[in-house]
Amino acid sequence: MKVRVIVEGQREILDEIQQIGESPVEAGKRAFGRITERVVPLAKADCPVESEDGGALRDSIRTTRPNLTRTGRVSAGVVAGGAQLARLASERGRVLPGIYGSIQEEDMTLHHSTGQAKFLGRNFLREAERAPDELRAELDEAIARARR
Amino acid sequence: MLGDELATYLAAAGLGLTVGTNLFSVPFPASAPDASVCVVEWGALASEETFGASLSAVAMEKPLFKVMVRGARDAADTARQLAGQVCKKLRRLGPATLSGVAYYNVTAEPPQFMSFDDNGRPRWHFDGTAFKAES
Repeated sequence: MKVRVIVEGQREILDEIQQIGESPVEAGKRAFGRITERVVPLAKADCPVESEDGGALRDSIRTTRPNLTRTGRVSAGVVAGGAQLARLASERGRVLPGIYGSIQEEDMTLHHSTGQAKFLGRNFLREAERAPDELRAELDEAIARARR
Repeated sequence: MLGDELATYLAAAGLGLTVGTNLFSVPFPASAPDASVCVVEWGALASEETFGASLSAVAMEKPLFKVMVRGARDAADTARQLAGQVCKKLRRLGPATLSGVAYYNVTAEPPQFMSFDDNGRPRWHFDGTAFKAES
């Protein structure tokens, strides 16, 4: 059995992209940057606050700058932890710092009076599902600007 | 629900796991033995939906889950081995029917070491996503 696949509209799509007048990478950076900016307050609201860290883990949640990776992908992210947590007892002397934040994110057996595990992952995945639509809207707007 | 369906499946997978004894669909109960496994649902990707009657089932749901494997003190390698075996029983599972529910596919990341708990017990974990019929 033979299957024949015909793709139509490639030329039109390429013409549209070329009319953007700027790199689609920049449009991707804007779209993904907006998504990660939305994740930060959601993750902070969900982040456990324990006596050990006093809210330092929550306060450390931030976006990474959208960039183009070496493999040609537009990347944007949300991270937690860093220097603010280095003073914690659980971090002292560790070759690979970040264990406290990792455990708060991954350990589902911990009991928290506020917040919960997967405070980053849950909120990031929920917002990231909107990425295709938001990227499409960004590209449409860039094309419209180029045509004016 | 996913946790019960996966636990029932794993209990019959020849890994020495028994639901309610050393295998749980909730975070480890206080009564759980040192060497135990739990499957915990923690979120979901957007379901696939089709037009249909009010309150009709979605076409496919995509729950997210975590498997935690805890070992006895000084038995980290045993726990690691079990985590690997559980992972292999889940990743790329499907198409299959678990407890009467259609599972189209399951993805699972390689197990990673989490930490020792407050009682010195090693814990390994991995995350996964199930693509399944609604249950």
